[in-house]
Formats: sequence, structure tokens, C-alpha cells
Amino acid sequence: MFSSVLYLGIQVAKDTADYVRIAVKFGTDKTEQARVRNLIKANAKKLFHRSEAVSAWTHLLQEMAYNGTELGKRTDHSAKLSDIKETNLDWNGISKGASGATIKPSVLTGDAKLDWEDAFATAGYPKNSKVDKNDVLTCKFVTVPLADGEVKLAEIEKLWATTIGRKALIDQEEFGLFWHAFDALFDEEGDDDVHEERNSNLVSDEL
Amino acid sequence: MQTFFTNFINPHLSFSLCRLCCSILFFFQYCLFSTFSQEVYLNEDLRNSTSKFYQLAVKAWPHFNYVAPHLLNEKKKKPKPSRDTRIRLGVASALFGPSSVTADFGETMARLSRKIFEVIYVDVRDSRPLDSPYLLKRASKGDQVVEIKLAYDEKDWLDEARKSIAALDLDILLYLDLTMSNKIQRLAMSRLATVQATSHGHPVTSGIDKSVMNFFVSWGAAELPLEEAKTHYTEELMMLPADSLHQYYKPLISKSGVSSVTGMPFAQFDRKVLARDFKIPAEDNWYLCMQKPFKRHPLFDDLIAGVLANDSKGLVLLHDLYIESEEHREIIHDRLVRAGVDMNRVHFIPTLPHHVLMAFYKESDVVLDSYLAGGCTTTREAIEVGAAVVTLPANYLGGRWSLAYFMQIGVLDTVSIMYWGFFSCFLHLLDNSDNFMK
Repeated sequence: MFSSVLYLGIQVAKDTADYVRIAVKFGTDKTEQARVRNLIKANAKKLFHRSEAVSAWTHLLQEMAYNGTELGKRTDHSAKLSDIKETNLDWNGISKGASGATIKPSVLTGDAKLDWEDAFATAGYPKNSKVDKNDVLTCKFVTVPLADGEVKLAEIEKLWATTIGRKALIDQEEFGLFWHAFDALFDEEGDDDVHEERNSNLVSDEL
Repeated sequence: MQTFFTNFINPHLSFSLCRLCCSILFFFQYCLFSTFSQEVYLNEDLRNSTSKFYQLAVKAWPHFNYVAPHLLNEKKKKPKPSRDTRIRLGVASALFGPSSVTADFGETMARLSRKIFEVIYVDVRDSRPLDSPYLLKRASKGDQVVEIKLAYDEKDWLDEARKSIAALDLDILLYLDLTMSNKIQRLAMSRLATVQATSHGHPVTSGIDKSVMNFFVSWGAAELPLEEAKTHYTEELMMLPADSLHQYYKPLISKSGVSSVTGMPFAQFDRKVLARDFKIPAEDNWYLCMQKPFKRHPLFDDLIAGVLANDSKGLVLLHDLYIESEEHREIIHDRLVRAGVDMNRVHFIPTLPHHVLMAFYKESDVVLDSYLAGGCTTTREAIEVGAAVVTLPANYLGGRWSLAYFMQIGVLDTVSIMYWGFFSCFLHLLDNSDNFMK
């Protein structure tokens, strides 16, 4: 109720007058203008390469698929970043915080988690213990690209050596390191041009 | 409607009307305007208006009501996907050509894990003459693209489109935008997948009953608090987290100052060059609004007048018409004069190549965000070059993108929020994200 009253105020003259006041302030006071422009420019990077957006969409779409229209019957379905920590992965599965800083994954999520479970299924070990190198290298995420010739055994060995070292038994976190490094071998190139097709001469609407 | 024509310029609607006059055969298509045109009611109850529009449409043309047979037959009904199977996600749009829709959703949809999702793009061909570079690329990466081709007979087209999509047996059918093509708008009145959702490609509710269009996917940061925001949609509102970006964006300007759209640098277009080339006095204060004319609501005219009245050295630079029309030019002129704008201090700028547009953002003193329909892509572009974008958040999603972006980057100096705004921001953050406060 309180907020409704506040929002109804949006059309009153004071708000539009405030818009004019702020615009004129920055238009005429060059020092103030330079200050705010520098501030905006310095912080603009926060809008880009935010992988958690992909994680948020993943989480939301999964919720929809798994729960169907039942989802709508919940009282509160405004997602929060804390709700989606488990799927907060970027394209390469590297977890990122809201600031965009890379955080080392301590708990596996998404595809990496499924492959970790696959390694256990291969070995028949109880969950949450360590797995053997051979169990990892016989998982589908390794064997399929290997069989397809997308990666060579020597490359895999080299990757193991650089990410794990000489260890033969690895825990979840180490598995994550290897998994992400392995996945990065197949990173798609050229997605950079998604935006390039945008042509400002077109009539298409800018939202 | 008459008021609409005389007071609000909307080339989309005019274009629809032209088509209406030209076609009697397809009358049912052309009588059904895109709800895009209803944006004139952004300061009214838009949900009520779009909902009535939908109800009228299905009453006038009952065949718009449709449920795919596989969704009616319990035996044939697809079970909900489990975590062991991939989710079949249909991504539908009529704007897969170079557009703000692909600029917004393109990277995110491309980056969804293909181990979790089987992404099938549904390309509803409407007015786009050429293939979509985005879809060509996605197809080359292994995604399925289903094209809904144009047909001479509109009923045949609808039947065929429904059949093609239903045959995909989708778990989710996600429409990126629903209101900018009347073809896709009609299609969306059908129930073709287990779960159907639409999103902010065009940031207004579809008006379609939620039993058909189940969800609207929005962004918590750009919405009013949940209880308020829910009243804007006929669909169930689902919000992406308020404390993080809602889409994966890449910068459009390289570190060396080159536009990734045109591949051209813009540093050479300094204020002197722009002033000379576009015949604008260089020494005055430039207030730029490069939103397309249809986004300039009559209420925004008053803001332009206010700026000029309060800055005697102010010049307002507005986007010119992109389809020449004497009639529209006259309407725009008369509207601004009525609002008290000194037309000698208004300059119209044509559609610009991207790098020149970036130069204008950089060289202008202030970038004015339009009101009630604000900027999204344009605001991001302006922020990228460090422009001082001034915005007044409106009630609906389409008028709150700039506020959301400024909240994300932590700069609220240019947001006109005044006394009510501080409360609203506080309540908003409290409602839509506990974490943001942290």
C-alpha cells in the first residue's frame, strides 16, 4: 500500500521537474558533468561479460521445465542470486560472483557435477570421496571427444599434468579444475560477432 | 484512436493501417494490430488494455484459440523432463534479423549449456527479407532452426505454423518478444508446448491469458517491487535476479575505440567535426536523445521544453524520422511547439552509423533518456562511452532499464528519483533481492 502510493507519484510535476533539474545541472556545470561521466565510464565494464546472467536463465528455465505451470502457484518466484548459486557458472563453468570476479569453484555444479557423478558411477565408489585418474579418463566427457579425434591422448595427459600434477587420486575440487580446463579446449570461437550483425541503420527498434 | 493519430506518432501503426487499406482478403490479419501500438497507454493500465485486446481478438476470430492435440491427449502428453534428459527449449521470435532482440538475447541463448538444453530456434518470418546471420551461425554450431515461412493464405500460415511447432514436442516455448510482429502475436494465442513463456524483447505484457502464455520473464532490477510488478502482466511474472545482469552482453566498443558494429573508430569525430558536419553550434550545451521518434511520448515533449527553458545555451538533438513523411514531420513539430519548445534550438539528427552515434554520445553534454518508454540498448551504448544519461524511471519495465543499469554500475547521480524514488528504490531492492542490500 505504501509503495503504491509512492509510485503513483511518478506523473506529478515534481518528478519531471527533477529530471529537468538534473539534466540542466549536468549540461551547464562542466565540472560536475566530467565527474559523473568519469564515474560512469569507470563503472561501465560492470555491464559486460556477466556470466551469471546465463546461469540465471539456466536456473529459471530449468525451474519452468521441471515444475511446469505449478511454478506459478508459488507465492514468491522472484529469483535471487543466492538461489542460483548452484548453477552460477559461466560458459566454461567458472563460477563468478556478482562483481564479475572469478571465484574458484569449491562445489561442482551443472555439467561438471554430472560428469563428477559419472566418474563415481564408472568407479563404483561411494560419493564424496576421491576418484582415480583412470576413472576420470574413462568418463564420457573425455572418451567421446577422444574417440571423435577432437582431442589427443597426449593433450589430455598434458592437461592433467598442468592442472593436477602427478596425483592419481583427486577430490571434487581438483576434478573441477581438470574439468574446466578440459572443457575450455572446446570453447567456441567467433561468438564475438553476435553483436556485429547489429546495424544501427536498420529500422529495428532500440529498446 | 483519433487522439492517438494526432498526438502520437507511430509509424508502425500507420504502416499497419496502410496495409489494412491495401488488403481486404486478409482482413483478419490486418485488423489485428500489434499491441506495440498500445504503448501510447504507458501511463494507463496497459495490462487491462492488452488483455481486452486479446479477449476481443479471440472472440472475433475464435480460431485463434487453439491447443495442440498432443497437449490434450493425456496418453500422448509429454512427461516433464528429468535431470537426466535435455530440456527441449524452443526460442521463437520474428526479429532474429539484426535487431535489439538478438542484441539482447543472442549471447545468452547461445551460451546456454547444450548439455542441459536442446535449443531449437523458431524463426517466424514476417517482414525480414534476408536470412538471419545470427540463426545461420547458430545452425552452423549445431542448433536446430525451424523456419515458419510466409504463406499467401493467412489461415494456412497459422495452421502450418502451429503444426510445425507442435511437432517439435517442446518442453518450453520461449517467445523473446511478442508484440512487435502481429504474426507471432497470433501464433502465441495458441498452446503449442507444455510450458509457454514470453520475455522482454518488447517489454510489455502480451495480454494473453496465463493458461496459454504461462510466464513473463523479466529482470528484478528493472521492475517495481514484485507485488506491484505482478499487476502489470497477464502472465505469471518470473524475475531474473535483481542483483546481477539479466543478459550476457559484450561491449560494442573495443579498447582502442573501434565500433564492433561498423569496425570503424570514432575518435576522429570530435565535437568540432560533428558540429560542422551536422550544422550544430559547437559552443552550446548539447542535450541528445537518439531514441527513435515513436519512443518519444508526448509527456517527453514537456521535459524537452523544460530543459530548453532552464538552459539558455541548451540545444536539443533529436532522432529524425527514419521513414520520410511530411505528415509525421508536421505532427512532431506541432507537438513540440504546443509543449512550448523553441524549435530554433532543436536539431534533428538522421539515423547514424554506429561509430558516429557513439561519437555523438561521447561529445554531447547530456544524453536524455526518453520517458515513458526509455532506452535499453541505447542506454548501455551511452554508458559505454561514459555519457551522462539522465533518466526518469517510469512504472513499466520499458521505462526502467536505465535505472536498472545505473543500479548495476552503482552510479545513481543521473537518475531522477527524488523523494519517492529513494523509498521506491529501497522497497524495490528489499522486495526483489535481499542480496542487493548486502
